[in-house]
Amino acid sequence: VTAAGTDVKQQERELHRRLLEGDDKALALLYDEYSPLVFGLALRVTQDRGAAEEIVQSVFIQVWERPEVFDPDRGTFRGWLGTIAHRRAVDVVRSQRARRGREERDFLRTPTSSVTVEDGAVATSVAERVRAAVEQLPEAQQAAIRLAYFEAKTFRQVAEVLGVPEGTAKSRLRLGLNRLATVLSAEGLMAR
Amino acid sequence: MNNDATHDEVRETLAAWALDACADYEVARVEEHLEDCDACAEEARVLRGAAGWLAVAQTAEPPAALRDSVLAAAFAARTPGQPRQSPPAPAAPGPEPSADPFGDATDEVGAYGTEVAKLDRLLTTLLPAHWDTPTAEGWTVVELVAHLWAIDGVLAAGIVADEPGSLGDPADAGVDDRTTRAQDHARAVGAEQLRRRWRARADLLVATARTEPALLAGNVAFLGVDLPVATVFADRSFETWLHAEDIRAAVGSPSVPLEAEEIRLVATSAVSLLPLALGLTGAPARDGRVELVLNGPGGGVWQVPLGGPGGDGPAAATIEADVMEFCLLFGGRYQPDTVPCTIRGDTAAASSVLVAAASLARP
Repeated sequence: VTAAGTDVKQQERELHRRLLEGDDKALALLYDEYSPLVFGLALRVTQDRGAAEEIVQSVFIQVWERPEVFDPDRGTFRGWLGTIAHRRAVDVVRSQRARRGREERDFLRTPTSSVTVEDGAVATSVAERVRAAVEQLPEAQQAAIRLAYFEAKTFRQVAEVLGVPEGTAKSRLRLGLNRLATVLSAEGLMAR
Repeated sequence: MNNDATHDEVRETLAAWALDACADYEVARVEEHLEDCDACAEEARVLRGAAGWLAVAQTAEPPAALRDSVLAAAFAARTPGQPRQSPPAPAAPGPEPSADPFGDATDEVGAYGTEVAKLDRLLTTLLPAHWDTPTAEGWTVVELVAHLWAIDGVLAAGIVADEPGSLGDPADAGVDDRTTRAQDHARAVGAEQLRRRWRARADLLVATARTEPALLAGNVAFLGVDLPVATVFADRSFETWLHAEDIRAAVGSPSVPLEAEEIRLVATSAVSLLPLALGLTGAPARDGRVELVLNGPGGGVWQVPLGGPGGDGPAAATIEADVMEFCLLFGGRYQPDTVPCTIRGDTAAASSVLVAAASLARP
């Protein structure tokens, strides 16, 4: 961990302490810092602005109501908020699919290649580095990860879309994600 | 539980889990295993960390107006300044204690406090667009909350001296008049301010009744009739619940049924008004009584004297219905001839009671 990393950790501990105390300005800070991440991710996965707004609301209410479930020594706010937001977005998409009915089997359709919601202004160097890291993965692993993470597909649906056995889909996800972790830690973005 | 087969299977599935790409039952199996297996827990942490970075390439600015509504909803769910403990305390056995000091529906005031807290939780999750959604009552959500606030104001005027939230309605103002004034006010101050004013008035009503319990035994002038204060609290709890249901239906939230104890309080207090309502609807005094057999949770058997002698004798008629359906008749959601019920005995006597019950309905 670099000196800058220690500094960030210290700031996150401080922000967490303020959330525990009920400091309303701490939540406003957290919102200003991370609402673009939560909203962008929710919008990318659900493709629905209304649903994305509801997810933003529920994520920040949860963070404010139960800050104690987060441990700043074991994770980052970015990781925590991203995890909650992604899970909610996936739940929204899956329940919509369930409503639309099984016969439609929409997950068998080739995914329309992503309505990109990125708005340029925030295409930071970190985002560029993550994108570059993903692009270093073999095509097959990239495709599996995109389907799972951004299209809210289960590994079974990933297997169906790609026309491979379930075991193969799982191992592509595992190899790809492990490789991504290695590249990102070499970049200094995460500890391994 | 932590055998080798489970371990291998979970290990193969960890990346799918980290990407939220498992079915729910698999998520449960993975997370159970992570509790016991340090090696898998460490790999899970690394994979979740990597998955989390995928989100950074997808940022987008949310609409500017969302910020205020999210912060307001959060601060309504947990008031700033209320500390939380870290690390989390182990889960206590038994049901979670109610966080709401008024949320104990063992009497009319408690029932009202409970329904107010439930409606407030619903309102704080609404998005700006929800407030303008029309409801079955014909008003939008914000207009409906203004209506509740207006009628709560009648009780406030009766039991709170110089109530700070008063709009200065004349004592003899009717429901429509008061509602119109409150809705105009809501348009001027906005939905969030209205919600706060409605909630502040409700909290003040509960606090007043709790600090001066003698009030509950007295009467209050309520929309042209003198009624026991406790009965008016029961009325307010039922109307608050009924309109909360209207709002839930309008915004697509699932219905939240009343608890049996509250149904019982509402039914008891509404039935107690029937002799008065019989008089007001001009029903001729009859001998004897009508027996109400109301079934379902919170139900029971009640006797309605018909104004003439022989109130202690055999019942002239029996009306059997579901207690909730009967409460909805009081609430104006049924007409006397559409409420599902079975009548035995003197049909005219039974009908006069149904007409009297429906006459208690207001918007």
